Amino acid sequence: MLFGNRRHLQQMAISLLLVLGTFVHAHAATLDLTPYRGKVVYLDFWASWCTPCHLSFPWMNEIQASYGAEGLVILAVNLDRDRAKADAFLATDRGQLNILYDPKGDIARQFNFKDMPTAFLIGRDGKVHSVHSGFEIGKKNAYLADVVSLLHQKAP
Amino acid sequence: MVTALVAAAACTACTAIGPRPWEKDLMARPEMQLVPYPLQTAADEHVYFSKEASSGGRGFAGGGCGCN
Amino acid sequence: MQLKRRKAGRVGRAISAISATLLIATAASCENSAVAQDFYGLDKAGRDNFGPGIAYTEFDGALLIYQEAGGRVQAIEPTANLAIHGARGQQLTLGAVADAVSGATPNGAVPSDRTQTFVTPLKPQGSSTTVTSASGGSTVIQLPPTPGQVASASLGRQYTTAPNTLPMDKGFRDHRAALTAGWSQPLGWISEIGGGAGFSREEDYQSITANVRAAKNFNSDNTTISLDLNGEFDSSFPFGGVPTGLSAMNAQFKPITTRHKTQLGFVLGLTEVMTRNWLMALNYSYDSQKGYQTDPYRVISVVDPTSGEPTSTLYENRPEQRKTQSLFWDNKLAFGPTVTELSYRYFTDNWGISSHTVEASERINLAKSWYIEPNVRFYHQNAANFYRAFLVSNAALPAYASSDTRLSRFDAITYGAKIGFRVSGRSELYVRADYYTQSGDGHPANAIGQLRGQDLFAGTKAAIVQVGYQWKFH
Repeated sequence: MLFGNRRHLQQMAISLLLVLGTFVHAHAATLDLTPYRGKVVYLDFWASWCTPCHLSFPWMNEIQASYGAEGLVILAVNLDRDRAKADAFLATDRGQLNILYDPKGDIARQFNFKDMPTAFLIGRDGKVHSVHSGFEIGKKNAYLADVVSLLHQKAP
Repeated sequence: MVTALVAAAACTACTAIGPRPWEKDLMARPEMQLVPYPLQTAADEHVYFSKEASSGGRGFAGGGCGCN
Repeated sequence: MQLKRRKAGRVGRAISAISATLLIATAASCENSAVAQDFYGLDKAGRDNFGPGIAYTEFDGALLIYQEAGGRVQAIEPTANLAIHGARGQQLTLGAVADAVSGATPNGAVPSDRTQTFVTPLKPQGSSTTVTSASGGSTVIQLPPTPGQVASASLGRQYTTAPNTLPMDKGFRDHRAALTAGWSQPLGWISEIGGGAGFSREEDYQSITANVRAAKNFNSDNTTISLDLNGEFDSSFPFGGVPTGLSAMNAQFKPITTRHKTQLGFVLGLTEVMTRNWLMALNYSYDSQKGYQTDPYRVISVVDPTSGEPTSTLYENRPEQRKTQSLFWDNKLAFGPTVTELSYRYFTDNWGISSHTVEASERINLAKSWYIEPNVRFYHQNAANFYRAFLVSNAALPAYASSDTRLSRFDAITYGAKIGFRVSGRSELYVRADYYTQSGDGHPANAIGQLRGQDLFAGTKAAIVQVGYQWKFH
């Protein structure tokens, strides 16, 4: 029951953000998904101090390169308080990913997850279809299968 | 009684205590582990075990010796 | 970490088939590039990246040098630990310790204003028993013949203590080697389950230990509840045999050669991340020890009720049952470049001992790769109810008696500091030095005659130096 509620809340939060994105307080980090309507968004929350995040970056770069043309957009939301630490991490690992900065966790709080990193898979319909909690190298194929299946869904 | 206390503490903790997952940058530092230098802790426990009447507590036995 | 799948909307069978093909193709190309790199996380940024979710190995080595003041015990202890971490939280640990201990140790007798003489069994050197010079300023003596005893067994070792000095046996020498192994991993809903075993061997002591552990994380991993069960089986085979408690100290070999002790216990733990800066742990421990817990080499003086002069020397005797409990509260606080640790332990047992321990340390990360960490520790304990600095000759013998200052009421303070240097992202070198002082009541109110002029507290002052190296690699 709780699970269902949370999922519902998450979807509501995203819808809300889509509508109100531009009106949110200027200091709070915001997530505007409007430009990505009709695309598959892999929304990844990460930080420089999170060890599995170091594993997910090369993989995200790979799939961005392979599936970008099919409509995959990776948004990597950084949750470091200290921008310099994020930059140091990105100096070697950024690749072609879109980076968002959320030093106060404003966006993270909307999505309320339990592990670092956590990735939300948002389909062409703008809805969250699956959540990857944590990142394990051994599960890469399963993660990819989720992405690929969403890419094959038609936009509404 | 102690068990009950621990259980009670744990249950109140379940509700809301603690930082959110993205606020654990400090907890991720190696020196924030409870026992970051196991050999140092082991040496301390060994010395104090052999010189004092009390031992243990950390859940890290200091025993295993005659230690006169 | 787990993959939570949600309803993926309408996914046609055909699409699944296509994606499966794609997936295999992609997986194959990735896998070929660098399987090991993927597994260990050896990407550009991850080279020096160690922690949860990444497979790595950590080697720890340290050398401990322990030196007591007054030419007492000195010990050198090299230690090595290897911890192999798997990407899914598995952990294999292997440890080895060696120990070389030597020096003089208080034998338990009171000082006297006269020269005292003590006799103890003679340690045969090699195959020959005709030793002419024994270690530590003691001499070989001929024992009065006992009926039916072979001639070679009729030699003993004798040492003397000058007036007004603490009686010490200088022949103390021992070697120890210990091995430990442990395994833990997550299993289903249990966050951590594991076990371990250890074996330790000295020249006169052996210890076999085993433990199992389970832990469960809650509350976004902010809360951990754990249970450890520990078992220990010890054998004591003192040189010269096991003396009868409260019998007169002598140089004869005793017929009983080995006594055992078993120990069973548990630790119930709660770890809680209180805030972003504050980590707290609370442990309750219980231990039950049964069997031989007497120090076979330690004696207690029986003194004259008026002069306080020792009239005889008896082997000590301790109860065979001991139940201990402790509550340990640990706090770690991270603010800026510092990490503060503050802990308190309350300990109590059925021997009448209770103790309080407070420890504090402050790690300060300095520029670049250095850190310093001063520390202080305060300890106070009450005496065991069978602790006696001495016995009096006109009083009835108690069932148990020990003059071991470690069972007396005393305070101890440790001051120390540590300096660490991060050699690279993978390795660290540290040196620490501590000075430990015990202080107790050397002039108890019940001191008799000449004992009033003696210091009856034989506490320890010791310097502890440890050099350690930590090396992490993939």
